[in-house]
Amino acid sequence: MGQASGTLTGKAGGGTVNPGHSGPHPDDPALPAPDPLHTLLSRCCYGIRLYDWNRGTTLDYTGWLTEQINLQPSADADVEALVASTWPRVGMSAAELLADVRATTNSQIAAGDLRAASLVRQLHCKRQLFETMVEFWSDHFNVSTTASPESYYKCVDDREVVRANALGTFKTMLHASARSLAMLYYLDNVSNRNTGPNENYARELMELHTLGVDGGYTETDVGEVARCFTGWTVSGVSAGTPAFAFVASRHDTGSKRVLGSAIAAGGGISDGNTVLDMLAAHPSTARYIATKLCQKFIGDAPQQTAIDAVAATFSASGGHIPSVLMTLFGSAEFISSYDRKVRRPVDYVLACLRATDAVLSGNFLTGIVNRLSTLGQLPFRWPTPDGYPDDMDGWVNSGAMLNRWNWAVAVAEGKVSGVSVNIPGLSANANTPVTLVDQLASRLLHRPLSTMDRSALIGFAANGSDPNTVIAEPGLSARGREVVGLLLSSTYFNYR
Amino acid sequence: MRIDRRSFLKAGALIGAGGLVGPRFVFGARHGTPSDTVVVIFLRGGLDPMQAIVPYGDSDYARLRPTIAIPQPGAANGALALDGLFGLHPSLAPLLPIYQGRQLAVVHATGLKHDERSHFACQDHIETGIHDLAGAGGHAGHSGWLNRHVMEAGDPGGFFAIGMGSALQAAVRGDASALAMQSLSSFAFSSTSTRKLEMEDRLYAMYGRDNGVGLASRRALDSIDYIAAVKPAAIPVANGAVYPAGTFGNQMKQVAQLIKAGMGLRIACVDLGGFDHHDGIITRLPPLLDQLARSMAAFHADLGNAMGDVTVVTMTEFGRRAFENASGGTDHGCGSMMMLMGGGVLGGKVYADWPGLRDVDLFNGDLDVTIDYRTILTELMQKRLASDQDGGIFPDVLGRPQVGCFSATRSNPQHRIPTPRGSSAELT
Repeated sequence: MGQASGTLTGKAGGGTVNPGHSGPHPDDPALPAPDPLHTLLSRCCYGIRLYDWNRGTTLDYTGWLTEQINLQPSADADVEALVASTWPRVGMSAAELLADVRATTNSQIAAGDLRAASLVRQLHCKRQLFETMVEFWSDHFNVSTTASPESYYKCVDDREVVRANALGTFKTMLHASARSLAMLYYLDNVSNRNTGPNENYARELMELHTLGVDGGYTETDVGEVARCFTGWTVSGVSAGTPAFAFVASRHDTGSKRVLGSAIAAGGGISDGNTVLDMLAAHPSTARYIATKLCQKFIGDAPQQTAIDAVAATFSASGGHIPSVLMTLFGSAEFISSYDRKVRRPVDYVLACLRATDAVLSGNFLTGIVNRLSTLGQLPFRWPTPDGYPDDMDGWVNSGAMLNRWNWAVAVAEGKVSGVSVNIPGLSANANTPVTLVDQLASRLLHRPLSTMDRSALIGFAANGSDPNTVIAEPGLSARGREVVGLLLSSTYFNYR
Repeated sequence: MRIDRRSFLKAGALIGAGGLVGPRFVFGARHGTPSDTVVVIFLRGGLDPMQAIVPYGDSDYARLRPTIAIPQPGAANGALALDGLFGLHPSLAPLLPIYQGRQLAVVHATGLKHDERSHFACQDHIETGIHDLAGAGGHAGHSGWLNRHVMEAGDPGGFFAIGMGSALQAAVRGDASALAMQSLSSFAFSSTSTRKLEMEDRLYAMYGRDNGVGLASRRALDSIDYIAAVKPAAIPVANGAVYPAGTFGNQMKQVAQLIKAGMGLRIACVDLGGFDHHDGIITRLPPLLDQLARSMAAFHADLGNAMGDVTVVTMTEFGRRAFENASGGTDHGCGSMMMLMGGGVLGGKVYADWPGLRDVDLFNGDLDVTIDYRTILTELMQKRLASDQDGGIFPDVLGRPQVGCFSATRSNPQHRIPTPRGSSAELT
């Protein structure tokens, strides 16, 4: 089962991987511990396809992680070709997007293209860790596509800010974000000028993008940083050539004082660049990004030891994201963190399809989008700059659990248009209650069931008969659908 | 041995709270006490209180906001006068008849006076009702103020407390039970299997542990039979009320349906977002206020006489700076405003200890807070929910003066905190 053994060292980024030991779980002690490889794959993938599991067992823990970090975009050339031909706006420049919106008079088409492309990439790309990090940074540098022109410029932001740097360095991404047309509009810096500064970007830059709310800045710093970014705007819109621009006449040329450091008068565009450099290198930023990464991958309340180790690598590596991830995934805290994170809706909805290796065709995206709309996680639609939450409080509640189960059951029952699951294939044609439950649990969950849950499911499948006798058709097909629905609805599958 | 959910319910057996399976049977002292249904509308993003409820009678208002000030009453697109000082934004016009009918009041220059200006930190403060979150300590300090009321009411379960939307609002989050509902119609377990009920029972058993997913799951399975039997989504809109299209109006309609269905709803949270108007407030605020006002007015009309036992409260995380910025908007500020609607509201009045808008009157450049919002909510709890007599919900404001914006007189003493589900007749 791909059990990682001993102390392994991964060289990518210079980090050290130590799978460590899996102890009993404090929140759900009745669930048997999964293999560490399961924890790694389920945190880094949108559900574990058979391909991923086999790749993981072949390469082992460190090998799989190293491959994921080093895989080049060419590994997913087939998916990118599909995206380019089906959702062409995803690849358009800002000028092309603006021209397209002027021609169609519909500012939401591009956002729909980007949403579809993102879901298809998450479903099909081999670079699952990359797609996971793209989603992480999309939330971190959140731009909502509910309003225009963010709705179409987000295509450029997604490509040139997030995807270009998701496994790169933080500082580069931060500078790109500050110049992103979508971000300039979303946080109003486009109209930030010397005659009456707009504080929106300055505040969220420090609170959400870098230092964190307790990162040591003051209300005065907010005002001063806003002055530094006066004149950072968008030009060329009426000419059809929208681009980032620094307009000196809108810039506050006086001296500023940010986080205790003086910024001399007359710096022009360098004021903002200085602030970005200062923030990227600030220890509070290392701590804040480390905390968010640990909250995403380890638990809603991660151990301080893990945060400190990840923050130390962030600082030492100059914000080199692969190095940071190697420290995180190599930590004992990560290995023992199974069953501490609940899948978010996008992850859950896609995982039901990937874990079953469902065959997708026709309008399968409609079902996905409708379900994500109900569950509240349509990509790029979170309205506020903090991005979609990634904790239990944000996603676990009674209505949400019902809507998750209803998706799982609809997938298993073949009720989602364009989605087909081959249950005899998943069950390897098992035909007794015991073999049916054991095979499906192994195939879909890749981890052991508790004794109690296993016997409850076998009892359900037996439906009053001997659990070791063959189930006759049509009962066998029905039991298969029901057990798949229950396994995908279970606690096991709702954790990642 | 695990107990099957349905046979357990049918047996009417009692087990202690904290048992591995089964609904919660926590008997509070307060069930049977007359109580309103309280609907809390949270206006996320930080509504500008002086664009919505315009202090037109303060001459500094126009000075601070030369390009965005709402014109004087009588002028084109002018404010709708409520009294000699305040007027409604014209997009709030649907609320004027309710104000004139004395079922709507406004509290101005209210909120929480502190230096924090982060949306998310301020929402935490407002929704927990605790000023010093670090100092409050422990989980109790971080539960929502409405959740503390649910606990105080004996945690009746079922549909006593709900939040509309994909996540439960922080105000109603905590140890006591509350349901988040994306919609009434999707609050069901759907399967075409002939063994659907057995599948529900298997899920109930597999989610037997008292952690986050376990509790949410069992509360869902405990509630779906009731809503399937009552079918609140089929209850028609009454009295010619027309809810505006869109999520918020639809959610208010569904809250009204739950109230009319008599399912024991006493606490409901609904959100309307998008009030963070750093720019273009003149064009961006009116559509939101229009949605808010038309939804509240439709809700008021739809419920008719039942509004005697319903109180609607609007809240937001903070106000805005008193002066406009160069983008035609306002940045994060402090003092804000609340609207109160219902039969128990002493309406037709703006409650304010107006701090003024001269430069020296401002608090860090913002409208000051002269009425702590928690004194309003404490009065609401005491007069309309027979609750929080001991300051357990808002300990910071225990004993502080109240403005007297609610009546303690009840139109219908039979509208009570319901008995916890499962303790009496089995629901069918």
